[in-house]
Amino acid sequence: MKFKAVLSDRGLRVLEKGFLPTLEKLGKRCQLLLSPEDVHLIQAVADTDGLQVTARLANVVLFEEEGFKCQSRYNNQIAFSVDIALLLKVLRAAVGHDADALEMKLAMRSVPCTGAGGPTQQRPTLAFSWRGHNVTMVQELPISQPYSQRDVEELVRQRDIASLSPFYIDLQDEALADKMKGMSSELLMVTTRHGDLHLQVHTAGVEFGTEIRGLSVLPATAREGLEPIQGETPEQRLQEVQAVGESAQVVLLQRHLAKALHSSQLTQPAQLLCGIAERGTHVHMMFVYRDPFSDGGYDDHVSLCIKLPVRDSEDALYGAPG
Amino acid sequence: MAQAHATIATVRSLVQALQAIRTHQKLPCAVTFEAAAGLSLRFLDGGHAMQSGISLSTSVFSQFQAPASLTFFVPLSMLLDSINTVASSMPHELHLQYPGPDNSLLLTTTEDASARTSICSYAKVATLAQQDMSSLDDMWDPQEVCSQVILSAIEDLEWTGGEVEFVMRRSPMHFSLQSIKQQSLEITFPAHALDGFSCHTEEVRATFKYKHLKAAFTNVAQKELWSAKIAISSRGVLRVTHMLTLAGGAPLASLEAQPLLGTLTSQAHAPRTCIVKFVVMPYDEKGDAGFGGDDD
Repeated sequence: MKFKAVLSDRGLRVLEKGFLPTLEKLGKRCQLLLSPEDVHLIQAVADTDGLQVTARLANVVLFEEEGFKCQSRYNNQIAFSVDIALLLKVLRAAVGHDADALEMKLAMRSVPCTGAGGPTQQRPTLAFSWRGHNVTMVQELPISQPYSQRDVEELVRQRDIASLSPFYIDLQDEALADKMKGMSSELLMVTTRHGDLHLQVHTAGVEFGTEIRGLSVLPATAREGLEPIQGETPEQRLQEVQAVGESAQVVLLQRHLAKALHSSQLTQPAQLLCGIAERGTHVHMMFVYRDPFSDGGYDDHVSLCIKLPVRDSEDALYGAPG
Repeated sequence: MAQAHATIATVRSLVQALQAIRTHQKLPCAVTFEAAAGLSLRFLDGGHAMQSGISLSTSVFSQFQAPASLTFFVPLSMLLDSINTVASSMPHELHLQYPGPDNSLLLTTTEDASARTSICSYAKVATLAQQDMSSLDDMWDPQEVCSQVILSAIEDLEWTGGEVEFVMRRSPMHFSLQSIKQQSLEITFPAHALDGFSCHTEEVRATFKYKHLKAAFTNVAQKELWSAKIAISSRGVLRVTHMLTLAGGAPLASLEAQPLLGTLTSQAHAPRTCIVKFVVMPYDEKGDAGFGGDDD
């Protein structure tokens, strides 16, 4: 098992300013899945408070081409977990010193066991070395034991599980969920093929709703053959689309939705796509980024996906789906 | 059943004006639509020793349709929270409708229709059963008004005791606030700072709970276009009336800009004003003061 790479300037920036602080807000640890093509930063449900988060960064974004090596017996894939705060500390130190050629590699380190003269123990580390203006630094970041073949396969399976939802709407507005803050822990979310989003909160004595109309819908074919909506009030329009089955709905935790939407703050995606999976089993959010090196194109080297759990059975409060 | 509809365009100033009556308690609040007078909210606070209210004249609304008088009750905190929530995106207009679905009060916001994406928020506030709540002015005999003052500096006073005594003397003109407990504190207002002072008897003294005074004076958020009127009746009931001019929306009528009305304390309220009223019962050591229907 060998991993050695030099972080590029863009790679350092993307990790240090964007993705790692974003993941840090969702959980303490993250799992790294390294491969010859890309790096996945994965937070499983156990790493967060229920969200499953997957960020994919292609190696061309992160690393210099020269000196890259990623080899293992499991399909050249390597996986382990790290403490995000520690990793960030190392990267921030490097940024602070204008580090040149930040090299990282997997290494084993001998540490003496507790008690003098005891046998030494091998601990896996991710070693960073870089040269700044007046300083040369070597830092060893403790990591978990590299995953066994079975664990790597399991992680790959988790990564690939997010099948696409029938249609997505582009939310744009991250402050959405805050409107309903403190009202109730759960809310009803309905997306429609027309590009409308309905959020409803039902509490004792008061019902709140917000309707956002005119959002972009993907894929464009989702809008084919739709009749214009006639209803005059948000609720009439909601009932109308529910009746003809042009909507999808779930009940989810307000906290989850707010966290997922806020995740867009640091990474500045061009699109914030939100879809409800077939049969409402989960909510799938995909953040799509613009390619900084081309006008108008989307960057398929970088992506962030969040899978939000939904409440098992729709609460009686919200009525049955149409 | 007759329906009431009202649309208000100056949502921001409405939210600001409502802060004058903020409270965290689930008090029943009477909401009254009146074709002639506009919309008013009234509630009893502080163990029935204080009644507060806010009224918005019809001119505040861009559209107002109501029967002669229609009153229903909702939990106050829920109503205020709902308005704050639906208004949080600073919508174009806020629409109130009663009765809405399931006899609720329906609040709806509309956004600028020209935008590509539009956000529409709504809240259905469940109404409470009819309550017995006497009107603010039932407690008031206008013949007994003895003082009419504009104050600008009641807030930020830290009173040492739980009660504050108001003292007014006719001649020489004198108005002061006193707190007499372990420590004493007295604030006398200079005569020139008082506007429209009148006192029908030689001396008036009345004592009120500080917490009620604080609620009555310090929550008014809007400091511009604001005036307050204080009156104490011969029975020692204090009435505080704040008059706020809601900013924004349609331009004010030119009449208001002219000094024809004399002072703002004139009974002919300028249109577009919002009136926040507090009626405070005098503090009574026996603790039997209160509005009718006292149940605690």
